[in-house]
Amino acid sequence: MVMSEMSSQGAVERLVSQSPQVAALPLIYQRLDEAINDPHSNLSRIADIILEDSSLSARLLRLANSAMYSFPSRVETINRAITIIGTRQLQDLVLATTVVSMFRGVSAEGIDMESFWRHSIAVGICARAIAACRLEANVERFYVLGLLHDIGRLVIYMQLPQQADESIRLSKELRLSLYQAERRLLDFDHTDVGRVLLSSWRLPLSLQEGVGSHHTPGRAGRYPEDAATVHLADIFANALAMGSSGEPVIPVFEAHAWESLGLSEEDLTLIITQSKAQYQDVLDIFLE
Amino acid sequence: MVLAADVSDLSGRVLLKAGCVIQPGHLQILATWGVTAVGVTGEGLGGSNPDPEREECRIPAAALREIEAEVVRRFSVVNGDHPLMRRLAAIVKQDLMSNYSLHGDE
Repeated sequence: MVMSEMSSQGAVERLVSQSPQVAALPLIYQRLDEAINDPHSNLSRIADIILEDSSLSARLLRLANSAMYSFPSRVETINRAITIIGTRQLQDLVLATTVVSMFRGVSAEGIDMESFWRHSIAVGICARAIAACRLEANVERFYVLGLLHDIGRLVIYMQLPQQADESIRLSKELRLSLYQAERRLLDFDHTDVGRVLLSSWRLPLSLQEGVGSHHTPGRAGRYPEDAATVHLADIFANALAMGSSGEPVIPVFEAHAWESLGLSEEDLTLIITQSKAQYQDVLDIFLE
Repeated sequence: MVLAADVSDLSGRVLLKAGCVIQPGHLQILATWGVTAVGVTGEGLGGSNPDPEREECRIPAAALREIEAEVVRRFSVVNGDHPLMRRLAAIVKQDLMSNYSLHGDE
């Protein structure tokens, strides 16, 4: 790592450590993570942890009964939801739900939070649809990845509101993607901040790398397909103007990301159709 | 579009029967269970998929110019020559035209 990269890495770590509002994930997620990783644990114990939070339980059941799944019969209990959706998948949905709740209590100047989350949810849904098209085993992991892809931008808005505004102005003036404008002004961008934040939360490396490389998927080392998936999902959601995290236009497109996923143009139509069909339903559940 | 044959998931369970007219909700079921392609007969998505050329004729020229300018603006920093971006731009234009047809320029 060269000196300038080391100093910008240090600046990003300071920025994240100076954000106490988001210093740690809610306790319920940590307890759930421990229970799932405990070989002596069982489904009832996992369900009991979720049921302690009635608001979280209600949201999860609404999700299980939403257009995201279209199960033929109604899912009435958390136990049933865990059985049919899967333990890891439900853990990912808990992560998505708790992070949105945590950040919705945080104020940041100069950003339309509602629009930010609409965009984040849209990218999550598009990433999930891409993963489903590719027959990925756990599509919820991709929903979380998409949902969190711009989380670093929220930290920049919270801690550096003037620079955040300035980067939007610069990106419009010079017709740059917003991450390029941030990099010119700050020497780092929101993907660096997101990667460090997820690392501080001890989330899996695949999520850290997917978030950290979503504008530069060619640089992803261990999880290039995760980065490629969220790169494309971000482009689709911006193209369809499903919310906005401040990006004025569709961000730079890296063609090799699409080629690496082995999808066809017909798949694009299916991905967009499916994402649009699920969007409003999921939005209502997460943003009510 | 009408299903040409039964559609099953990986375990062999039948999800949709042959002859079923495919509706948008069916696409979700298929995607949920990992089905990415099916055999079909007939045309149109449940008979409700708009014909882009016909829809374009119904939109006033000024509004159509605005829609096209918006598509160009959104794609201003991407490589618009790539086939995927061309297809995506066509979807976005169709989306904006459908929105105009439903809501006008409100």
